[in-house]
Amino acid sequence: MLLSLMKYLRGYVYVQLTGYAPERFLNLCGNRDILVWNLKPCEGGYCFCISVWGFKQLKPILRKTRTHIRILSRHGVPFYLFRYRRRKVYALGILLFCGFLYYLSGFIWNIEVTGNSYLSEEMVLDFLKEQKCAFGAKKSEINCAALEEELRSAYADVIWTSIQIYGTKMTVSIQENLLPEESYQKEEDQVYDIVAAKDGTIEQMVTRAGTPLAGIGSEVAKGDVLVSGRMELLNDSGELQQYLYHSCDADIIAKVTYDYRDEIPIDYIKKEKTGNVRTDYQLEVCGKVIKNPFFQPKFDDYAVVSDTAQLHFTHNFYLPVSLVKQTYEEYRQTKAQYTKEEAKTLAAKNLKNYLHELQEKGIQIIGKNVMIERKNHSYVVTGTIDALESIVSYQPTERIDITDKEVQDTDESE
Amino acid sequence: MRKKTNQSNTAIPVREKVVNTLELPRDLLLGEPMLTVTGRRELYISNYKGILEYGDSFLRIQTKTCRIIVSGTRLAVDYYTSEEMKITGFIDCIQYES
Repeated sequence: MLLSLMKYLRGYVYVQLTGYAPERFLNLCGNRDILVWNLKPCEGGYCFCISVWGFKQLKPILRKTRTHIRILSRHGVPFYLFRYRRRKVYALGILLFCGFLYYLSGFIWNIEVTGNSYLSEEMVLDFLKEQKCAFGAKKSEINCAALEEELRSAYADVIWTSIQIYGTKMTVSIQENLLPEESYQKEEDQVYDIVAAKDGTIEQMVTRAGTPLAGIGSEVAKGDVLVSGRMELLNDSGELQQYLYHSCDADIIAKVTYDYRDEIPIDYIKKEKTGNVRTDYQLEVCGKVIKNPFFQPKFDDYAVVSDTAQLHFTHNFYLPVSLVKQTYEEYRQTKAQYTKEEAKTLAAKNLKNYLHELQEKGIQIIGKNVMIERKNHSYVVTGTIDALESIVSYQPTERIDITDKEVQDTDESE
Repeated sequence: MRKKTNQSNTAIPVREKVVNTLELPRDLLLGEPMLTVTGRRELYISNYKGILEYGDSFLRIQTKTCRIIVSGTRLAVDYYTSEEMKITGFIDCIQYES
């Protein structure tokens, strides 16, 4: 492969050899280290390929062996250049292409971000954009060391970075601080009570810090203090001497009742797809939409589904050009009424979605009691849902100063 | 006189003996041809002196010790240098002539 490329670059000719002693001619070529290839016997002699350099050395051998040589075809770059020597614009084009390629290789065309887990790739790319070191930035204007410094100071979680440029590719390696920060740091001078976030009956309660004011089985209303951050300190005679303040910590799970209500009107407009679909393509360049001027949906009622595909070079270098595919689906509107069965399935579906939403919040459903009944022009679904959930919420502890004064007074009197 | 002819007659066998006992490569020291045949379609020959005759169906090659006749169909010489040549085509027979 490489050898044939070399032959092509240097140029070679395909020749026919005829005459008195062609074999002797070949042996002389071999002795003088003139390479001959694709040797084939043909009418009256041999045909073979020989390099341009070799061809120029043949004269004495031809005379010696009394043979004649005729060029059948010429191959290779030198002949090609000679043939197209008058095409100046073509040569200029090749030169311009090389220059342009060289010019473009001075920019960043690909950015690879590795080692990030909390910090998303988009954030890093946005940061680079702010620093004017993103796609299309000039390589000579980027100071990698300064950029690393900037990245570390901009994001506290980043403890080590390395930015390297190989060719037109920038590699950003990041090491993040994976040790979690203290989940919540409460200010020392601010103390919190735990209050009920919702009405309910306490089912489970574990108090780790603070004075519990409610127990298992007690019914609480929203805003009731469940665990107090204020602790009474009694003296030997059983009198209140001092209040100590300390933030509370507790797990409190209560049985909470949710009211559920849903209404399904009997009359509705049924949308039926007719199956007629028309597709249109649009081009979006820098936020401007170029529409197809010859396209018309030709439907009375239709829904439009848009698929946008943004062009990108590498997996993260997006160009401001996107192709939008719009699918117009025709549908027919008809008035219809739900039957009881249909309303029931629809209600069940809605309820299921509602319960699913609750469960996603970490709420455990323990029971539900839902009824459906027809009222005038709609089906009304009402009921209650029993659930277990944490009702912990924090509220600053009220400080009682008067007692402190009293205590101070007694201290003085003693 | 007799001794001298004896010497000249035994010169080659002695050389061959040395090569044989020391297990030296015969192609380098005795100038014997090397043939590498891949299947029936490729043949590399090195250590030859030249081509004697060449046609579409046969090829006679002169080497230092003997002549080699390769016969077959559509024989072509891919390349031909002073050290090695490559022959392609459909080879029927490789024959030695002394």
